[in-house]
Amino acid sequence: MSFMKNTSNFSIYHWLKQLPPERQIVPGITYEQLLKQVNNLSVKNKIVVIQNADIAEFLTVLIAAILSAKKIILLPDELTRDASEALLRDVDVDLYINGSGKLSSALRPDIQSCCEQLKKRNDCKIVIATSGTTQSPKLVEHSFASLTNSVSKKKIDGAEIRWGLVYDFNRFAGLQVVFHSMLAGATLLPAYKHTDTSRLIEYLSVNRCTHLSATPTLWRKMLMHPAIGSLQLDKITLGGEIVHPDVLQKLVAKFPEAKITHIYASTEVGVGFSVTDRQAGFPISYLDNTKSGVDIKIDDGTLWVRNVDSVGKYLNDKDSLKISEGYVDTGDKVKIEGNRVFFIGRRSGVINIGGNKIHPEQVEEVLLSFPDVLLARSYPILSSIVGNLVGAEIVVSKETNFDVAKLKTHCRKFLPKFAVPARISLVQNLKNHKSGKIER
Amino acid sequence: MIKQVIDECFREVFIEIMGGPAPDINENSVLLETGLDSIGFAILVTTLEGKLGFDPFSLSNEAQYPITFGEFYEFYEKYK
Repeated sequence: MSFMKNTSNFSIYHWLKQLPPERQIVPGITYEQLLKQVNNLSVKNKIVVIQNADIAEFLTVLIAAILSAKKIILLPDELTRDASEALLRDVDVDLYINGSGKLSSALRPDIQSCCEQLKKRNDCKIVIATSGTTQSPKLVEHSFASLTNSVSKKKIDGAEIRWGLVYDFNRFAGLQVVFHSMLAGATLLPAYKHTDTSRLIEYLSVNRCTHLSATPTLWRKMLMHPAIGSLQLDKITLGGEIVHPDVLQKLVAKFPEAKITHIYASTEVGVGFSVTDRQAGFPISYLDNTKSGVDIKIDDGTLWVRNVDSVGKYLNDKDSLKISEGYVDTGDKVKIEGNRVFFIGRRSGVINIGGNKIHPEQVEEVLLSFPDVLLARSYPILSSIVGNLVGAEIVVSKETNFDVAKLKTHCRKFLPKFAVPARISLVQNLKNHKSGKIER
Repeated sequence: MIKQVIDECFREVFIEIMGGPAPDINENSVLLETGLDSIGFAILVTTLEGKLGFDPFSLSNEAQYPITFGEFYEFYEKYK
């Protein structure tokens, strides 16, 4: 059985339909059962929004949408109602599916079904939110093709494959895992609720997880857990943060037989390319050929990616993606050393703490709202555990009696935990640009 | 010596990050099961780098990360 990459001839419906009837899409639900639900869902030519769904609802709506909807917009659960409404202000939503149990109102058992007539339709736009933290995220429009261009063309029988899903399925990284699992006819293990490492490893082990995609930070946490030996993994994927050699080395030692891949991808450009030689960075030869169907180039120290399958545009946003000759500016700074290209951080200064991102300006705003803080600069501190931590320098009006501990408490009130500066230094002055902005 | 620095630093970071007194630890305590989360653990390693002048996590070529405090002390001793 094979999944054909050429989506114009590919029917996800036929693909899923020919899987063995007992094959489970998630533990407890077969592909066959899920497809019955899909048949009952009428989303033909609609713009569908989904939020707060459980995994079964999500998969049902996603497959139905790919078959016949005009557009499906995936909203992260943590987005507030106001933020969700603001994002959708200019979108004519036909169907908003919110929360477990609400799906029934969208089910039309009498309509049997759009899917039958539209088995080959794959032109549904899939809209995903960027990982804005306290700042509003943006919505990026993709297609089924752009989101599945990295899925293997090789013949795969997913009978023995069990993909662990530790990411939010509404977001790019999670959706990738969903597609990899579904298009291999594999079983998806929804593990994202287990934030405790012990429980996570136990769940993955009990459910015989074979394939797992996670951030380097989560891999480090799991590798520092005594139960890591209970996992038997065939495929290991890393993404979402810069991958350093240490974590690759430990993964190779612990799982010598596993295929270990790190992925370069982003919500904006889709999947860029993957690296399988178990080393950090990527070979310089990728600048000529990534072997992943996308083209890349380095311009002024920044990586640009051209993904022909990617729709690559923001929905309802004045700032469009920066594009030149089809290449999208990723904002990721790189350096070349020998025959290798290494990532060194974000041009915008965004700090990535174990996959969670924060703009330094947001940290500075909170620091400046504390009495006696006159100037503030926030910056990334390299961390061998979570990639980066947040550091800050401040100028205060009176250094005597200034209480840094109180300032940290203030930050904890107004910033997510990962964004609270781990180190705050008092300095005499901060350099300014001519524009008056703090120099970064 | 290093053990003392680590124990003291662990208590300080724990109180600051978790807002309560640190649990008792011994050589068999699992590093990531003290109640200190991964950000807290990252802060511990960064703070130790400030005090000791090195970070064995970024230096090491070992096949595995330390799992218990006993292994953590040894890890730092080895790279001091």
